[in-house]
Amino acid sequence: MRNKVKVTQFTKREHRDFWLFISPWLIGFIVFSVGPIIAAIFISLTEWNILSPPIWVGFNNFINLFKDKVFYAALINTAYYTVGSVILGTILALIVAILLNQHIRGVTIFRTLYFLPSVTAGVAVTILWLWIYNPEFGLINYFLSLIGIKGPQWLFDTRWVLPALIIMSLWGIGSNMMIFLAALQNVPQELLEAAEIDGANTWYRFWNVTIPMISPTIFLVLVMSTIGAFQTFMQPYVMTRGGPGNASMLYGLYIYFNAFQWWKMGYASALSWIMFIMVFILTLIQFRVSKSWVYYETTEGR
Amino acid sequence: MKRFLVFSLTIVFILTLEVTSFAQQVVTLRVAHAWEPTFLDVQKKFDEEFMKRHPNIKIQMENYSWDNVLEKYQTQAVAKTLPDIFYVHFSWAQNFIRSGMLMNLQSSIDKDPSFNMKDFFPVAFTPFTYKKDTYMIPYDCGAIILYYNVDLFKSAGLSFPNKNWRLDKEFFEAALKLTKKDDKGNIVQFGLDRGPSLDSEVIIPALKSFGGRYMNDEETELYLTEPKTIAAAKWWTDLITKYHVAPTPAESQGLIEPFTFGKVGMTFGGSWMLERWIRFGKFKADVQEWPSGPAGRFTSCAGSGYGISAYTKYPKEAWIYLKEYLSKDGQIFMWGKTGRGSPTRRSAWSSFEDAWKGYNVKAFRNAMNYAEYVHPYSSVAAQLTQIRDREIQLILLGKKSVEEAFKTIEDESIPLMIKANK
Repeated sequence: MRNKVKVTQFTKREHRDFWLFISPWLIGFIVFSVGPIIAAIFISLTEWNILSPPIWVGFNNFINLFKDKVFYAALINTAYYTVGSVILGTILALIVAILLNQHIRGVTIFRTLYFLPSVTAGVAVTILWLWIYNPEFGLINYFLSLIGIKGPQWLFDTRWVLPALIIMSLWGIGSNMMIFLAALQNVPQELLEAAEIDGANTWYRFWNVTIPMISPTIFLVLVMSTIGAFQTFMQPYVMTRGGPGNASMLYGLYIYFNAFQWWKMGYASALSWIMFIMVFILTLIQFRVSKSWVYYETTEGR
Repeated sequence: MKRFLVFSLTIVFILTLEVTSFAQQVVTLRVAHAWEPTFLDVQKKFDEEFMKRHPNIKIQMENYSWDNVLEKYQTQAVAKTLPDIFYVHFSWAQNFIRSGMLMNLQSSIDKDPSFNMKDFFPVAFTPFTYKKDTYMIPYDCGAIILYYNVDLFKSAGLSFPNKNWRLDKEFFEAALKLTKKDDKGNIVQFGLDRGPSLDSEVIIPALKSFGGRYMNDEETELYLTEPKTIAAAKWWTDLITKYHVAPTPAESQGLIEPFTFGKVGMTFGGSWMLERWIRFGKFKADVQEWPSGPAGRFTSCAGSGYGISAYTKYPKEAWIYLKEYLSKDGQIFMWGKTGRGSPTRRSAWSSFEDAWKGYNVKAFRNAMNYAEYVHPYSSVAAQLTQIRDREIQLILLGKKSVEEAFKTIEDESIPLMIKANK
């Protein structure tokens, strides 16, 4: 009986400490995330230029949104960019991680080098790429000219601007590469050895042992990258301002233009809510589909 | 009687103390700017001198980075914590006025003859007034005129631009001659930079010089599909798409102002570019008025101003500061002598000319006599500008004809303009 009381007090103290330690994050989350999300619902039902009191317009912003040609352009561009950057970025990050997981001399230097772009300031990198893509004196077109190819106008070509942004996004694979590297190093050696004894070649070991073992990590990277790609803003803002025409008008950029350049906070909030719903549904689908290909060691892990 | 006398004297003494302490109460004014760090010393010096003259007013200077000053004001306006006096770019002015962020200065101006409104270039007030009332005082207003690279003109054996230059003659011929190619046929030097861009600063004179027009003063109508406007725009855009005497948007990508690099013969700009292009440029440059076109000589002008927050607790003191800051002496001290910006007061102009001795800066002053304020500056200016620039870029990239692009601009802009003027 005495013991039972002690456990209860301990549990109580544990609970108290839990809430105490988590409270800074929790307060921040409620004030800076949940608060604005709820406020955005109200704002999306108003016409508000920030400076004057909001005017109630009901669902007009949502109705107008579906009549807006740029909204559809932004949606298509963002889908294109997301598919391209997430798939290519994930595959490339995994390949680089596998290469850097080899036990060769100087591998630490290579790991640092590949991770370095991820810690470089975003705008500086963007300006650098602006020069790399310059059709006249940019590095890419210069190298293409050496083999007799006339490079495209990149950021000024409606067909090439999104591929250019996707290629540029690969510059930042370092973070995902590090996550994959950690996952690869956690693949149980005994499983790989057992497969080898069973006669599995390198490809079979990779496909049937490594991939299933790191599938939760691949899933995490896919989900996080998809959300990140949907929110891409800085690159098109600095490099193209959504042009030429609306060819690189990504959804995040369109929200920014509406909110902070054109002073249409209500419309921007409606756009944000649509994006939130889309990303939410997409993530749900990803979770549902993941059941068929993501392997967890414990059933609770699901 | 004696007691009454003592009582009265005590009351008078206490009242005197109260009045004296009230008179000595120091008021703190927050004044916000968006200056580059190198200019802050001049600002601090002005504030120090002001505080010496007005010991009951303390100036608390706040300097915001140009990159986020607008977002800062928006947030402060919502929280009602705007500085008492603050810098305003012309393109934000109408939104600020209509949202009630700014104090109406008209009665202060009317009551204070020493302010002398007649001394100002009237055009400088254009975006800062609403329903005939003034809400901000402009501190600089620069006409957009022609800059030319003296060294490149000399090496090409060309005579320098003069007031008799015509766009379709001397200007065009110079642009052709200044454009140079290397042995492989790559252009290594352009005759012209800005102009074909038809951006906010150049579109009015560019179109008007050839008989076209952009929009009406009230910003309720656009004239872009008129034949003369189309023809004028074609003349300018042909300079890139047909004659290639100016860099395409792709060619100037990553170069903020190609003229700065000394590889462009001519460009257009306001007086605020003198410092970058003339003082810090690694080549000799000078300025001349905008060349005339078949329909005459035109130009536009733009600038910034200062306003008083509608929420200030000290409107009287704020007006005292604003009045002195933008007085003749204030303008000479801040912008005239430093050459930082072309003053809006005629009486302060000679100091600006002195700061740029040896250069034809008189051209800016002359141009101010016929310049009209750049458009758009209404509450939907940012969106109108985005639509226009997007479509003109497509013309310059050869993706759209002038007719198609201008039709799109009208179709997308007119509903916004109508809504803004409701």
